[in-house]
Amino acid sequence: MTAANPFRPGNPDCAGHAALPVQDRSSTAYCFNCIIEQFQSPAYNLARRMLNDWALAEDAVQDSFVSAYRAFPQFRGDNLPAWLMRIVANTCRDTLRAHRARPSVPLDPLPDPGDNPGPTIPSAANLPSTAETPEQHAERSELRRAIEAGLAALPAERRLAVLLVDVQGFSYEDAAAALNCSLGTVKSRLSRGRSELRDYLRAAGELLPARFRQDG
Amino acid sequence: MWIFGKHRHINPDTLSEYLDDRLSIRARERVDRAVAACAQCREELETRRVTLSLLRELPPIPPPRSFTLSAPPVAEPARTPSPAPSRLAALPAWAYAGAAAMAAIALALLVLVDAAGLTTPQSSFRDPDAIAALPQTAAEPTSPAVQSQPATLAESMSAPAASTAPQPEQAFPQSAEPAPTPVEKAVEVEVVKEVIREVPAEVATESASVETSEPTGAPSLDSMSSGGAAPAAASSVSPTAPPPQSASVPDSPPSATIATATPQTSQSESAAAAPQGPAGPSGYANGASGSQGPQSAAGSMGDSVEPPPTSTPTPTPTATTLPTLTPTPTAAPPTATAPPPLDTGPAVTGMASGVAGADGAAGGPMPQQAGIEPNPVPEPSTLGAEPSLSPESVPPPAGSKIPLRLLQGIAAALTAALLIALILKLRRNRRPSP
Repeated sequence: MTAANPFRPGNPDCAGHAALPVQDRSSTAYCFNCIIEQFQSPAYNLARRMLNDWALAEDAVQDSFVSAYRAFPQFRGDNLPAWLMRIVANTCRDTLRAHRARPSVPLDPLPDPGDNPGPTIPSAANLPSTAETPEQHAERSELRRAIEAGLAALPAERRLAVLLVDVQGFSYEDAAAALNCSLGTVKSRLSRGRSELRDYLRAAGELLPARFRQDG
Repeated sequence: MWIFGKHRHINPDTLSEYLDDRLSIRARERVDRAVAACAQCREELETRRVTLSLLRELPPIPPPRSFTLSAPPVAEPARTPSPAPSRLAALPAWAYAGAAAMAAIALALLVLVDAAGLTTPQSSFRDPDAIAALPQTAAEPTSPAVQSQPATLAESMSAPAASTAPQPEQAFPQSAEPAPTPVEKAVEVEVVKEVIREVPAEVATESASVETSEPTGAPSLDSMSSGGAAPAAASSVSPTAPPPQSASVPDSPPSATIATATPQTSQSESAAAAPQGPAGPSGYANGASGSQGPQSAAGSMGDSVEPPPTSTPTPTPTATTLPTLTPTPTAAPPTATAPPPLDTGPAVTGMASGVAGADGAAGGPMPQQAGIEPNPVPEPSTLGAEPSLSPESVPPPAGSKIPLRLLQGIAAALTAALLIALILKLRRNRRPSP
């Protein structure tokens, strides 16, 4: 990564944000805001599906990036995605632990922007697509909710493995680096997480579309 | 997968790696053969594949905002090494917990001992004269003789220790076990008595003048005072415990048995106790005395005023009239011998009060109706407010106070333990994490 550092300060992507140079342990310079822009989406997805709360996920992602900025001088420069996801995963664990110790229910739940991404006001640039009928859209939304509910039902460590490997597309090795565990542990957590999610979706099979039902 | 001619289903971890294409070529061929041969393995693989496809089809959630930093975040405050902890702070947590437990136990013991009355000073700030008169006053509530005889109590007031000190043990052995709290109350009552003592003296002189000025009313007043004491004794003693004197009344002459307690009470005691019998209820006793007429009226008055044993010093006027009483009602059956000098009103009401029971509420105003100067009434009423020496009205103070104080002690101990535990927890939370 030192040879072809896409996050070096002064790269063309740095024009859209304030320059925030940082250096890793090997004194390689990075623009931290470029790193944020590159990894904020997977970081937010991971936090959002780990915490099931968009506000908590926002805070967790912001705290993770601040922690990464402060800890960047200790970064060895080998696997930046895994290193960042490890920080996000640790922040999510801390948030879950704190939330479990002091559960809170919002008095007036705000609308979840993740449920309805994109502008809600119809405009010429946002005409309804003809590729998907309303029934199909409803079916897909229902399926997505069922999967996310199944993910939320998983234990935290198995959920992290499934999210990193199956949703984020991490390799087993990167997932092991992000989860700070061995490769065999990642395989085991992944296999059990998939099995539990399958059982959950089977139990909720009536909600799934016909093509996803496994009636034998 | 066939091993020794027996099929073994494929390991789920192997199926996961198969779906992620992480198996070697030979392992992959083995899984293909097993899936082709076993329907269960095939179904397992298919369900896993569908689940994986569902997961991979999950749409990414766009972040609601950009998380870029406009400026370098404020540097985290450097963890300054905390000053060298004191030796007290260096103690382990279990030492604090043990100290907290010991403190709680000590507090509970202290409160328990205090509740048991072992630490209450009994004579540190009391009047020594009142302390000297303590045994008689402590025994007064349970001694029927002293209750029924205000004259003896008045005499005993004048001579505190000599005359009445042995009486309680003879009259009522149960009173020989005074709880500390009644003793205190008795001392307090003595102090009050000393304050009030001057007033009955004046009243005695007034009643003596009334007695001399009204010869017809004198016997009624005498019988009222004596009868007022007798039913009071019968009603106050009989519910609590049958005193040994009243139990021995039918066996031996009543004058003899009661003379051991007080010589002056023999007349009224015999009048009250002889028709009653050893186990006669108080209502019956009151009714029997009420049938006498003036005595019942006086008895009802005494009941209504409710002269507790401590109120007996106030009827010092009756002590002055008692010598006139002693020769007259020597006959044991009082109903036949005692002619009602007053009109029938007091007798009827006295009987009614006897039927109604020992409360005597109906007979309270009777002396006033009879036209007798009710000068002793205010004093018994004021002294009747002392509930400590009446056996019926005195609850066991120690028994009633201990549970309350015990609860207070337990609450205080728990509060202290909780506070110490809270301090420990705060101290543990403040400890810098490594």
